[in-house]
Amino acid sequence: MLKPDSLQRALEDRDYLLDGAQALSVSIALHLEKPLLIEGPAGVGKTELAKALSLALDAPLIRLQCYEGLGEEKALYEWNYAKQLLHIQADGNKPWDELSADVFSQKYLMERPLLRSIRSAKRAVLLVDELDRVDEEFEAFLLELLSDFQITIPELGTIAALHKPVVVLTSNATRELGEALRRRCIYLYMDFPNLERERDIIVRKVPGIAQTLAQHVAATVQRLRTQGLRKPPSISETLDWAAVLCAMGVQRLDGRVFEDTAGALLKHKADLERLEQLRSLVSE
Amino acid sequence: MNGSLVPLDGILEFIRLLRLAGLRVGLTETQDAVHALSLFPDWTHARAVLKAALLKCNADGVVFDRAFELFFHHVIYPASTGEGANPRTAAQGGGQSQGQGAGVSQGVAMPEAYGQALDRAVQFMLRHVFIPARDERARDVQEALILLTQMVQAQAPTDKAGEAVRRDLELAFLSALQADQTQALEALLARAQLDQVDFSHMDASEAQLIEEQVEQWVRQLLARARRRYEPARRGRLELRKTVRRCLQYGGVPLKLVRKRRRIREPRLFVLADVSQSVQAFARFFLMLTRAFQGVAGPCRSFAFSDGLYEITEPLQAELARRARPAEAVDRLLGQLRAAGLTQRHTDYGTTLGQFRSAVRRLDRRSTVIILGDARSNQAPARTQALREVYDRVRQVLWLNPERRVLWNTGDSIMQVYEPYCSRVWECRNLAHLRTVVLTLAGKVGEHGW
Repeated sequence: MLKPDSLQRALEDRDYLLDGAQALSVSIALHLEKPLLIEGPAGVGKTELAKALSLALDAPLIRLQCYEGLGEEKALYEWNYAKQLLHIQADGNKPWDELSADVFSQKYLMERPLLRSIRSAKRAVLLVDELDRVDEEFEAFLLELLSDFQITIPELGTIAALHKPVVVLTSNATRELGEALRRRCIYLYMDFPNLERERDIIVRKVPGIAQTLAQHVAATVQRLRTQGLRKPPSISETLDWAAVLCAMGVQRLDGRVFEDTAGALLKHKADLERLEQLRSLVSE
Repeated sequence: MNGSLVPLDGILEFIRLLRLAGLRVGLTETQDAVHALSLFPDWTHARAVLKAALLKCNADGVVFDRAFELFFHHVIYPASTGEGANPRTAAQGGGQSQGQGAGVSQGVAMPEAYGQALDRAVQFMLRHVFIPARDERARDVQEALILLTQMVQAQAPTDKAGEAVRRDLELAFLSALQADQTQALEALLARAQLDQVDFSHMDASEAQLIEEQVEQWVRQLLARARRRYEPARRGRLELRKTVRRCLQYGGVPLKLVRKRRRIREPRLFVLADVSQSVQAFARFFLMLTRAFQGVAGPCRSFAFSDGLYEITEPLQAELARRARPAEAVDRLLGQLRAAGLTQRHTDYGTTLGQFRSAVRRLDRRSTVIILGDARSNQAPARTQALREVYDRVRQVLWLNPERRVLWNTGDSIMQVYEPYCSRVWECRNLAHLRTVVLTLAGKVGEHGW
C-alpha cells in the first residue's frame, strides 16, 4: 500500500512536489481505484502530475488529448479502412465469410488511447487531458468506460482490462462537467503553489540556481499573480524565467533585469505594456 | 468496516449536515469517505481525507470547512483545540459540550464590549429568529447572522474581520444552545440552495458563486449557439474535394465532402436598469451584462434610468485588464452614480426612444435583452419605439426581477411592453436564470438564439 508520504517522496524523486492534502487525494484515488479529476488554472502542473505519477508508479503513460468534436474513432479504436479495402481487392475471390474474418481482425484494428490503456499488459496511467473541451455525448461515453473498464467491439467481442489503469482527468473548467462524472471521480483542486513550494520547485527544476535568487523569483511571481494580469504567470513560465536568469548569470534581481527578461514571464502585449508599474514588485 | 477514530454515526451525521448546507453528497461519496477514513486512521488527516472523498467542486470548500469546524471541533470533540490533538479521550463524552456560558473561544481574552455585543446578538437570535422545531426558519438564520455580525461590528469595533466576528457569533450561539446542539447546528448550517437566493439578497460569498455560475451559463449559451450550428453547417456537395478524397479509396466515393457554411454569431444589445427602484438588483444586472459583454462576440451594453448611457467601453476596459467581476461591477456602479443615473427614476419611454435612434445596426441577427422591472413612474410608455426595435431584430428578451404577481401593479407597465417582446421572464434567482438559459439553449436557431 502506497502511503501519502511515500507517494509524496516518490513523486519528489521525479521532481514533482505535492503538498500533504494533495498527496492524500491522489493516494485515496489510487486506493479506491477511482479516476482522479484535477481542476485548476492553466499551468499549475495538472498534466505534469500525471506524467510524474507514471514515472513514480513505473507505469506507461497513455495520453488522450481532448478537443471539441473528439469522437470514439479517435479515442477508442478505428478500423483501418484503406488497408481493409486493399485486402479485399487483393484477395477478392475468397468467400465473404473468410474475407470478413480476415478483414476484421487485430491486424486491421487501429488502437486509440482508451483501448490501448485497457489492453496494456502492464498497469498504465491514462491521462485524459482537458476533458472540458469535449461534448457532453463523449463525456457520457467515457463514463461507461470509467465505471467498467471494458469495451465491446462488435466484431471482436468484449475486451476487459487486464489491469485497471490509473485514470487522471484534467479540466480547465471552460465547461461544467456533469454531476455523474464528478461522482465517479476523486476530486482534486490545484491552485498556484505558495511561496515556499514554488521556491522548492524552482530549486529542483532549475539546476545550479542560487537559493536566494530562487526565493526572489518566487516572491516576484507570487506578487505578479495578484495584479489581475491578462495571463498570470504559471509555474512553467516561472521556471522558464528562472532558467533565463540563471543562464544570464544574474546574481541579484532588480527592476532592470526584470524588464529585460519579462518576455519569458509575461505573454500578453497588454501585460508587457504595464512593465513600468510592475517593476516595482520585483523583489530585490 | 470502520476502523477509524471517527465513529460511523459521527460521519453520517456530518454528511447529513453537509447536505443540509446545500452540498450534494451521494451514497457513493459516503462509501468513499468511510472507506478512505479506514485507510488513513489518523485524526490529523481526517479533514483532508473527508474533503478528498466528499468534495466534487472547489466552490463547496468554504461550506465544508465551516461545517467541519463547527461539527468536529465544537460539538463532537470540543476539548481538542486543534486537529493535532487526539480526540479519542474527548470522544468519550462526545456530544456533551463543555460547561461554558455564552462566552466564546476558549480562554481567549476579548474586550468586554465585544463580548457584550455578542451576547446581545445571541439573545436576539434566540428570541426572534431561531425557533427550534421549525426548519422553515433556517434561511432567516443565515440572513440574521449577516445582520447581527454587522451589528456586533458596529457596536463594538474590533480589528477582527467580518468572517471572524461571524464565527465568534456562531460559537456563542452554539454554546448558548448546548442543550440542543444538533438543532443549533442545523440552524447554523442549513441554508436555502444557492439557486433560491434572491439576487437582491446575496452576500459576498454567494455573489461570487453566483457570478461564476452566471458567467459559465452565458458562456455555455453562446457556445451552444455555435455548436448546435455545427451539424447544420454542411451545405451543398463540394465535388472537387469529394473527387480528391475518393482517390484515397481507389476511386470509390466513400466520403462525401460538403461545403461549409459560415457561422454567424448573434449580435447582442443588453439594456440594464440601474435606477433607484431596482437598486438591489442593479449589481446583478451589471454582472449579467458584464458576462454577456465578455463572452459574446459583437455586443453593446447600456445602462439606463431616465435615459440611456452606453457602458460598452468601460466594460471592455474592465475585461481587458481582467478585473474581478465584483470589482468591475463596483467601479461601474461608481461611474453610473457619478453620472447621476442611479439616483433618478426610470423612464422606459425615453430610454427606448433613445435606444431606437442611437443604434442604427439593428437587423435579423440582433438580439435585444432588457433587464428591468418595467416601472416607468407614470412616464409615457412610447411603445412605438420598442415596436420598431422588435420588428427589426431577431428577438427582444425581457428579464424582470419582480415577482410575477406584482407585475402591472402600481406603476409597472409590463403588459404594455409584453406584446413587443419575444419572451418575458421572471428572473430573480439562479433557478429562474437557469430556466431562461435552458429555454434559450433549447431553441438555438440558425443564427444563434
